[in-house]
Amino acid sequence: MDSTTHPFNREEVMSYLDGELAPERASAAAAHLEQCAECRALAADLRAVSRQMPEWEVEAIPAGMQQRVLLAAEQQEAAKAPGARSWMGVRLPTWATSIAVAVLLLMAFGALRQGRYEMTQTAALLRAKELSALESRSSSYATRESPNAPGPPPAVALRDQASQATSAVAMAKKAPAAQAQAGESGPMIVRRASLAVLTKEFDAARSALENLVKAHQGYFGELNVATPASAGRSLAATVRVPAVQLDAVLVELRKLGRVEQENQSADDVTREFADLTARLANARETEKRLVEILRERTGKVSDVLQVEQQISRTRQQIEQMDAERKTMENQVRYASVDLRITEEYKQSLETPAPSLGTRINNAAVEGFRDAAELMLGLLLWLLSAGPTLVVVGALVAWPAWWLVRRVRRRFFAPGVAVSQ
Amino acid sequence: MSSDEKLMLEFQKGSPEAFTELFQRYAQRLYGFFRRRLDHPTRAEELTQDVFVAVLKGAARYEPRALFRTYLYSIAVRMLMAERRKSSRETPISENAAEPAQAAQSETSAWVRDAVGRLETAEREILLLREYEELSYDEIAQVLAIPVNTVRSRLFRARMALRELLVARQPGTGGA
Repeated sequence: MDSTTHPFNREEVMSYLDGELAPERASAAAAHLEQCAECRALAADLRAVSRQMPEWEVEAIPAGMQQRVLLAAEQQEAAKAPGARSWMGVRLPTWATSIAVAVLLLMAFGALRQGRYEMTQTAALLRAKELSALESRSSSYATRESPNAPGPPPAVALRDQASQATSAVAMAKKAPAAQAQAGESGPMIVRRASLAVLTKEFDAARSALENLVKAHQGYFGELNVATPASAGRSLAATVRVPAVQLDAVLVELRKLGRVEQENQSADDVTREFADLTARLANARETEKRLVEILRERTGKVSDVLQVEQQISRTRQQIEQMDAERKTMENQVRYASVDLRITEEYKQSLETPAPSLGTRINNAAVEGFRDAAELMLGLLLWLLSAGPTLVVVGALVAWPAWWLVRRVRRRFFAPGVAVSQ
Repeated sequence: MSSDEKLMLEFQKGSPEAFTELFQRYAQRLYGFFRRRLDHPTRAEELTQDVFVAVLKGAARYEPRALFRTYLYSIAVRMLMAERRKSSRETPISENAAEPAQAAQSETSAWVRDAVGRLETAEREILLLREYEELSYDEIAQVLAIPVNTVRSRLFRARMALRELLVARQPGTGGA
């Protein structure tokens, strides 16, 4: 049956029966069917097939579904208030998903790089900021962190920030004074001193040092005693004492022996502290705003994810700054003294070498200590980098899982999907 | 009687009666849609419910550019595909497995089900949408996102295949 012998092809006969032909074409088809036995037979077959179809009946829908639908909709609405994760419970087209994944990965990568950049810049920024620079930067932060306004591209923002940092460094070098207005609780000075003392009575000096530190409510940041076989013993310590008592402590330390070297420095961190406090408050404010946005607005999945990511980044910054602030406060409250006490070496005839047992013991102790320090270092690193790793891991694992699933589906699943 | 689209717009404006009316019009058909395509009646029921929940939640975004039923069946088809992906991942069950729930039905019913089950997946989907959901060729094309010509030719192939099965089964009733 082709168009040379029939004015209608077989599919058109079917379309006619289904009422899918245009009116003129349909009446022409009706006329043709009257004349053409072949087409009539085809039409009869098609009708016969369609007549059989209703035999396949489906039982009545279980009662009470409408109530369940309304209830489920309410529950989902309540549970998912901060943003619908799936669009109407329907899978997104795969291309849209992959684009979203790609964008997210890029953003994560950018955020990581920026985070690292900011960490290296933090020191410079802290030392350098003028208040005006602080204000302008905090406004640029706000622009960048607002999820609805795209702001400058990250690279531009970074460049701006870097140039601000360098110019602020220059300004700070030119004008190291005039910082009184910055602090709310008086100037904040980090005091450091270093002292090298030569003593004849090493043991006495050492016990005097320990008593001294205890008496002034200080503590040893670090203490190393070296006892080489053919030289005088030496003690190197970092002593932390309350800043107000530093002068008194130094006076007493000088009495431990002959002072070979002494050095004092005071670093004013008032502005850095104010800067950090302001940035911290600013970041907290941003976090609050972001959380509000997440709670009050519903949007696209990608928007929600973006806001969530922004929140976690902000939190990370807050924690980092909080830690910096605490460190700084600690540095201000406690002055640190780098102390070196050396024993005047008296050559003696009997210099017994350490016994084999002692040496083994020492090596074991040192080995153990090194291992413990390594473990501690690893633990600290995990604690500090862990959250970031988890976030990045999740971001990488999702597309990977999606990819694996897609590949597996393509190669192993039976072809059950509706063909597109 | 107002059209589906009008009802949906009324529901958008906050009329719960409009939704009830739409539900009554489509619940059974939608249940049939899933029931004929899935082995488990409970899953069919849940998915029917999910489609209506999606309609409820997406009501604000509904625009009467397309027919309501095209919109409804588009959601249903996507949910069905998601369901099949999921079940093919979890338990690779044969799609044409006879389900005990329907074993007691009439012989003709079982025959139709069996014959439809032998069709190629893509053709079967179109045939079902035409015969049971009674969608037009254009609507089927929209719901499955394929060209109308493809719908027509696959539907024709599906019906021809069914005719062969029908003739093979009962030679007397073929040429009525």
